Amino acid sequence: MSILAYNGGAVVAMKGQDCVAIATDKRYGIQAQTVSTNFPKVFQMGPSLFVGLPGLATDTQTVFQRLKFRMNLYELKENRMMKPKTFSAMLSNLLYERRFGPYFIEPVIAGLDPYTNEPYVCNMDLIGCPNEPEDFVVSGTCSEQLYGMCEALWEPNLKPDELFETISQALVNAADRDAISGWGAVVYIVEKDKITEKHVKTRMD
Amino acid sequence: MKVYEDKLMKISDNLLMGVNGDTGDIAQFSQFISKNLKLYSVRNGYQLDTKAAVHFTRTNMADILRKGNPYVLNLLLAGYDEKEGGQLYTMDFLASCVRLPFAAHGFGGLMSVSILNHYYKPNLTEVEAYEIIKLCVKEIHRRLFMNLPNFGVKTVSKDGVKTLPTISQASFVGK
Repeated sequence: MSILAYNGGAVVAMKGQDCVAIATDKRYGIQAQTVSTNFPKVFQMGPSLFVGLPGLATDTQTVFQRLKFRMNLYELKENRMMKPKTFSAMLSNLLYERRFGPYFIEPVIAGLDPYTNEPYVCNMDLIGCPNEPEDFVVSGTCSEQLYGMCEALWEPNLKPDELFETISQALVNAADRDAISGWGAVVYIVEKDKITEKHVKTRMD
Repeated sequence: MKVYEDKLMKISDNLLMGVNGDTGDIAQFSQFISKNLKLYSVRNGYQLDTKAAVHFTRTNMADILRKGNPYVLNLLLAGYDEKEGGQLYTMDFLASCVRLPFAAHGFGGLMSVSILNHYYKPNLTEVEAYEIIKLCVKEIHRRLFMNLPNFGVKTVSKDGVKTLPTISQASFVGK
């Protein structure tokens, strides 16, 4: 059984018009048994920067702590906010440092550039190879289902409300077809001047 | 070998750790955590609250996990502090830690979680909680292939750690 499928989980992020959205499921389980239904895998790293860390739960927590440490140090030293692209490079480096004993997570980054407000999404494999597409990124145990849903539903230049609908439907329907993802979802819509957090219901099983 | 082993360790005045795993690891790890928490309180003049103590425990477990000789322990951490009240955290042997209203580890735990899920309410009294645990133990005695005769019970509250009567085979006589 794959280590990346030990705890289960799913994260998806999409670009919209002057906004990004990122969504995660809330299940924490140990193989078939569900332990908690309140374990979101997306963390806010800055005023408009979010990172999703699906995969092995212990590494989700460890990498979040290490990332927070490095980001805080950067922002203290440089005295400015970190750009999403730079954050992506930092996370890639963090993961590649462990090339031959990696952290078992496949992260997703979503944010707006703090100075130009340009939307940015990125995902990586467990050793930090970045992928910065123009549309959406997916990760987790139901990534195949997510790819299908996103490809079907996404279109460019969606407004924040439309983007919310699109990303919610993508995650909910993909997670409903995966036994080890789901038990509720959290969706964040990141715009220039506000962040909306919404909890969405999936199949609770 | 022994039916009266106390696996609920008092880690600090308001923190209890229930440990499941190798005996050596249990002793070593629980003492390591409790002595370090004591050291913090001696150095700084105040005790770490539950959340911080659990975070410390998790970080140490996660660091040792990738160092070639990890502790193979499943933990339940129960603590009380003024700010958050009573809290329960579960940590598995990989150092994934979650806060939960109720939790269980092991084969007996697999049976117990469904019972706990059904009977749990957020504002249970100590007596009601004890009765629910007794229900879990009853089921474990009936259905589990291993013989686990005695279950020690402790509570942690603003008055500190208190030991409740052990649940054993005799608790169910006449039922």
